[in-house]
Amino acid sequence: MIIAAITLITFAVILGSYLLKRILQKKHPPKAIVFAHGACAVLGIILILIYALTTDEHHKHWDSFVIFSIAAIVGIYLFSRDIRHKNVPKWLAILHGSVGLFGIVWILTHVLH
Amino acid sequence: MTESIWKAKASNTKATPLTKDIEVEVAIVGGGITGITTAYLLAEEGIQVAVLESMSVGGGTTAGSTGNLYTMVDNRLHHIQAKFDDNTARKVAESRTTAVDLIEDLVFRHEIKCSFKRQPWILYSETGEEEEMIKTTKETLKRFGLEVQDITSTSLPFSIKSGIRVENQAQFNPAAFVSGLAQNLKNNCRIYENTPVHQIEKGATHILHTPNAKVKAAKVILATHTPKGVYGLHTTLFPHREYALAARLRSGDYPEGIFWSAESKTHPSLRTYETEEGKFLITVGYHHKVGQEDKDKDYFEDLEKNLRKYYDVEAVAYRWSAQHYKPADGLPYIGESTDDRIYVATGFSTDGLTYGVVSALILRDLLTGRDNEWAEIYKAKRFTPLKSAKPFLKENLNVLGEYLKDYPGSAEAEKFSEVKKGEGKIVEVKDEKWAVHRSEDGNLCAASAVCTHMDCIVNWNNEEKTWDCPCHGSRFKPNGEVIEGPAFSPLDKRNINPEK
Repeated sequence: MIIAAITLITFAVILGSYLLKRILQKKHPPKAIVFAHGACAVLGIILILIYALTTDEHHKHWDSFVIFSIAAIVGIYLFSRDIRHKNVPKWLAILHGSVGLFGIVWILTHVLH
Repeated sequence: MTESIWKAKASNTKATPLTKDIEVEVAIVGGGITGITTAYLLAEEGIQVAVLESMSVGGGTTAGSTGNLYTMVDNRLHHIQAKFDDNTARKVAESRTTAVDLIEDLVFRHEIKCSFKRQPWILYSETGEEEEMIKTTKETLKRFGLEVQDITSTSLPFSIKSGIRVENQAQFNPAAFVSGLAQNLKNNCRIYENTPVHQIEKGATHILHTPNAKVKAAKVILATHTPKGVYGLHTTLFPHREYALAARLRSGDYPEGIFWSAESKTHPSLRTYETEEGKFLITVGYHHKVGQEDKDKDYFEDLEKNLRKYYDVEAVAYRWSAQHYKPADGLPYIGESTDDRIYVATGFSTDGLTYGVVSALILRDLLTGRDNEWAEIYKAKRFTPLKSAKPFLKENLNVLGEYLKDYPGSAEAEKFSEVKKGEGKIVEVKDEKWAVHRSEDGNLCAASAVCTHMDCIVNWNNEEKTWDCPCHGSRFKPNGEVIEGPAFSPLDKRNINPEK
């Protein structure tokens, strides 16, 4: 389950990096990519939550769940601005991407150990 | 070009644009039947009102309607009765009857030349498929005190299986009525035409930004058919367009009345309009979601072909199309929005002329602190999840589907040369989608294809030469200027590189 979650979130990060590039170029982020990014991220976070609630393992990945949830909250805010045709703050988009990327590195480090 | 018969036959209000800052008690955005009737009623109460109309008074959706006034509703009163209750359906009928009576009173009080005429409303079935529905409609209307007659024939040139007739409904020229009423407003109400509102700064006093001046107002009424800006309400309003034409007949009788077919998609509504130049037969049909028309279809041509099957048409003099917003639970949303002291009146479906006046009566009472017996059933902030669920899910999945069409490489053309004269296409330029139009004289103009309301990609409407947003119904001129819908701002301009 955790591998599926990592795969989904990796997809979200790849799509997110494309969206970040568009935002830094001041271009409209295509909505199909936005929705795919959001759907992958949400499903990944849900899988981490289910894993954390059901696993008998010592490390339940609650830390990763918190990191990705923080990224998700910022992402929802960014989406709420973008969908209303308002400027998306670049620094916040970079922060959102950085937290997501850090989360992937964090969870991979723990899984591989 | 399309032009409605109502607009062509109505006199202009000739109000000037707003050029200096003003402060009023109530600012009304939109000078259609809802805005002008509300302004009239509020001004009668001594309230200072300003009406800000982006084009000309009565020239928008009001001029695109059928000009029919009736107690019934397009999705049938018995559906409202089944979805809500007997009392709600009764209040809908009462409020609509009162609105028609008010229009008649205003027409005679101010001698407004708008061809107002009491006419029967006729609902018929040609195939017999909808006989049960007609029976139920008859029983419901009788229960609400209307006199209903069974009919087996009409003055239409085809036979019917069954039908009903209700006397004392009405027809008029809606643009002429609104224009006439606008000329009879009290001095405490001013109208500004060609004054689009680009932004509303919400606060203790709302500030409305127009191109040349600002309006400060304690209360704002968005009489814009659908509220301007982003509101949760937009997820419960489903924008549709339908087509109309007015034809002169070479021979044969013009039907007198409001004729509704229970099952026809090609002529669901027929009526006659008499002017000094003679009579016109008006037909309406083929509705589809805004921005989602069948690109291979010529709706006006099909409408004309269908009319010629039954009538000896001499010429089609006018053709136009109009927008309507279907509400999720079947009732309009009238009253204060989720923003304090900003009022809306929307979701009228195809019954907008009568509902526009119902809105005016309710808004007058809400803004003057009076009780209104209908306000609760139409409340804009109502939450009806069970009654709205099915259309809400269906329509919002449709909106999601439109958003999902926006992916890299999904443009209709790669080069400007692919856009022929009179056409509009989405062209991908520098990884961006541009709405590119080539006029009949060969000139290109371009704007971003991203709707300024909620970021959907607009589609070209070849019947009317406009850019239409398939998500929430905003419409733009070929150069990107706003025509109607919830978008405040025009499409972002783009400079054409002819070599692309």
